Amino acid sequence: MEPSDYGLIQSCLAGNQEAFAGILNRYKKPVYSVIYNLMGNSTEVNDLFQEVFIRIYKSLDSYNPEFKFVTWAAKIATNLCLDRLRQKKPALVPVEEIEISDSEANPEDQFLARERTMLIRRAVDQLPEKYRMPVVLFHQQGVSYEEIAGILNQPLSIIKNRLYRARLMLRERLCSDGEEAISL
Amino acid sequence: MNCTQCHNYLMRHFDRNLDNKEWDLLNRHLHSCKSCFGLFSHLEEILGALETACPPELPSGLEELTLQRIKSLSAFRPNSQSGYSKLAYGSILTVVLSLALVVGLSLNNAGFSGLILQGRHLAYLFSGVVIDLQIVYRFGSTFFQTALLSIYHQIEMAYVAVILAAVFLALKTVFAKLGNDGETDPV
Repeated sequence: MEPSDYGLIQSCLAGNQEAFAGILNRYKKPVYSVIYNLMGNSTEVNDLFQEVFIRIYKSLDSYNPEFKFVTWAAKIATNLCLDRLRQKKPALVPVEEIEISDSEANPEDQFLARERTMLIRRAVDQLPEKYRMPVVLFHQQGVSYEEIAGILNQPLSIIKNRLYRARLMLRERLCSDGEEAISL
Repeated sequence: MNCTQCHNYLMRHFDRNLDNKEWDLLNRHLHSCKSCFGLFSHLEEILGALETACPPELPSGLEELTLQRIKSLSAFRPNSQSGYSKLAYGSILTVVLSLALVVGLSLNNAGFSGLILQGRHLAYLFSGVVIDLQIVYRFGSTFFQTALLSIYHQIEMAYVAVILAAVFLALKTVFAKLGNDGETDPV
């Protein structure tokens, strides 16, 4: 039976070096996904990934087991990304780096799907931070409203308003770029 | 249902927070309103693309590199001593404030000679403590008799003990910190 997150953390705090390797292995993908979707630049993502886990390691004793570990880790990742974003504008993700999930489509459809996804990614990247964060966390990371409110330290009503507003902004932006660009 | 209500239902649909009855109401409106249907179609496409995009793959070696970096942090020990650090720095502060109080009062009341008197007083305290302990040991005093031995001395003994403990803790912290400053983070 796999140890719980709290068990791993206690083991790590007691000096077990392998326990933190277990935590890293368990949460590397969601943390990387959050950083990747927020930053959109592969070099920064790798650096931030390491910084996030170093900060997680140094703050293990402050983790509250009442909350999900992934939410706490996402909060640390989001805060670090916000700090970095405020220092510089993130670069856009090159087309080649965008993965398309439909591997059975013909090349032309794949190209169109890739173009569409690139446009959507670009539109998300261009959203102001306070609107981009809820979109990324809710629609790409599957984080609930309550968890987003905890991560971003904002009331639930504010998060809802921003997410609703962000959806409409995405639609306005993508429709003004050319309606046919996002249709199949 | 009007368009304003429809927009609200649309948002709740994309929140996955709409029951079957509400979805039927929404669906009926979408079939009758071209504008709302257009909004629904666009949002479904945009948000669907975001939700179904493949999660990014970790570059190979990143996990190992991260773990190596963490292991190279000094002592590979998570910070579980924040409480201890607060006590240590509190002790340093106590010692500094006590010394400042003694020096300040001495200078204020009687200048440097007053300071020397304070030093002698402290030495007397130490010797008083030693004498008290010798009396207790030699004559086998009971606890009651010991308690009667100068209430003033007992209070001063406690004060001296606290200051000594604070000095010890402060020195230990300072030397430990000086030792750690010699190690550099290889990253």
